[in-house]
Amino acid sequence: MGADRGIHVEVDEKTILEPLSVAKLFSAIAKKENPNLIIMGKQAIDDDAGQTGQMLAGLLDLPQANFVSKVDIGEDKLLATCEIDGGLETVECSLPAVITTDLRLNEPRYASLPNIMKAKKKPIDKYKPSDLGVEITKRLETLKVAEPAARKSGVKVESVDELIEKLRNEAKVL
Amino acid sequence: MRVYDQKELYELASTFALEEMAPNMEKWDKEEFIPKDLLEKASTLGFGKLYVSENGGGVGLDRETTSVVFEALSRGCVSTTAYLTLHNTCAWMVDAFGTEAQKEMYLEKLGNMEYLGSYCLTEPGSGSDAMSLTTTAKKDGNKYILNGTKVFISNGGDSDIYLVMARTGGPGPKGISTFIVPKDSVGLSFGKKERKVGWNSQPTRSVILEDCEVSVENLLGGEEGKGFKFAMMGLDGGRINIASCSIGGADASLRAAIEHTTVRNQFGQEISKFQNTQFEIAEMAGKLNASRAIVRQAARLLEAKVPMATASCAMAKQFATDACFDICNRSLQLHGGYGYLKDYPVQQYMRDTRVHQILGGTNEIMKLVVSRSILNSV
Repeated sequence: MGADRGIHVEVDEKTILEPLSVAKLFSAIAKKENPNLIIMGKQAIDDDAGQTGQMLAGLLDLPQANFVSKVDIGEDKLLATCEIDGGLETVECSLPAVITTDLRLNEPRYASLPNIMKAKKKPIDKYKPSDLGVEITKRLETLKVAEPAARKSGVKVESVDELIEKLRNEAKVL
Repeated sequence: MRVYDQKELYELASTFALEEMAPNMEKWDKEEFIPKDLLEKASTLGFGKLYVSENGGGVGLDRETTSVVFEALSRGCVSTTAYLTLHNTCAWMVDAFGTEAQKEMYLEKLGNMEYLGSYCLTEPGSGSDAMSLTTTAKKDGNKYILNGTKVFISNGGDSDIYLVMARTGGPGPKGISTFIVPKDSVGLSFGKKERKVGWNSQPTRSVILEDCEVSVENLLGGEEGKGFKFAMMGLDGGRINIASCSIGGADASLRAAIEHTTVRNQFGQEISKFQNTQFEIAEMAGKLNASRAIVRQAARLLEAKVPMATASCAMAKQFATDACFDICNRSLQLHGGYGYLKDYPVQQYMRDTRVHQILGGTNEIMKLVVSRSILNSV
């Protein structure tokens, strides 16, 4: 576990960063760094957006595989198993590519003590959005947040006839 | 090291302890072994060389951070962690006092726990009166011939390297030297495995030297007469380490007591609602935190190499091992009858921490060290 160096894009504490802004920042960095593979999480735990990786791939015009729970990385392409609503989808992408990961992808190892100590000395380059030529102003406004209607309690019927009558006339599914 | 960074290491060691050690501590106690793969995992994370210097290939932690790591590991198994601390002492001694050739030969493998180490000072006739030890080492050409018996040696018989304190000169401390004795040495044998009340995951045996041949290259530091000083310096750190193990065990016991008393119901309510339980828990928490404070302060003083470090380590060891055994014992009481069953871990923390009041220098000797330091400066 671990990395050789880090890049920190500094924004003001109070800034609300939207997925497109983040994707644009990463896109600018990717153009500097030319990575062969970009690994992102599938969705953040604060906004649950699940958009950034996909947008980044779009901005960089790179292939993408999302919700990846298994990946085999070859010389110039990768084979990914993606968790989708209906089951599992296998996707092949040429490299460079963007993948967004599902928790089932791997089991993190323990970081060793010597590596934790070394991490403190590794370089972290810092940028501001303006250094990267990226505008991060908020474009979206949340108008309303509401819970879905609460599930109503059911009704006990006395006979099959009554069931059919309700299904036809009340639930209107027959 | 900054508190923020110490916290990170504490989290790592605690996670390791709770996931890799705690689920197995009952089995290791009952079957009396530590699996090789646990030691391997521990060694890849650096747990065999916490305070070996960075130059020596170690993690290079200061003594206070080391204490924090051992405390965390002890939550998972006191006995196994206690052995790790003894191994760490051996690796540190080679790093701190060894010649370049000795470090070349042994340090990396000790650091990675490819070689396990045992510290051999105590004899049947010399425990508290350590400097009266009678194991002899007579020079004979390019060898030393060692004769004597060491008793109560942790991991004796299973270790690869034995650091043996033996008499090369006259009586008293200045006549003692330290030798690196490899397991396959001619004339080295081991006694039966002792049957103990606790510390069962690691074997304890006598180490028997009968015309045991040790190369002159293996005189630690290459100089006779330094052995006692090396041993005592090793012990200062060893005392902090053992106290840290007591703290980890007491921490785990207190948490267990809190859980049990909030779940156990008698007389129509959780027993944690009774004032006696509340006062017990408060006192236990107070003693636990006082133990942490005194041990960590002693660790800082040892790190700073100040003259009062030795007495501080002794004071911390005595206070913390007594207080923490008491916490484990009280926790057992708060569990009621369940505390006495081996299905519950609290009895193992109690049994394992009991011996910390004895080894590494009895708490009575600790009081002598402390009182001498105080009265001699009057």
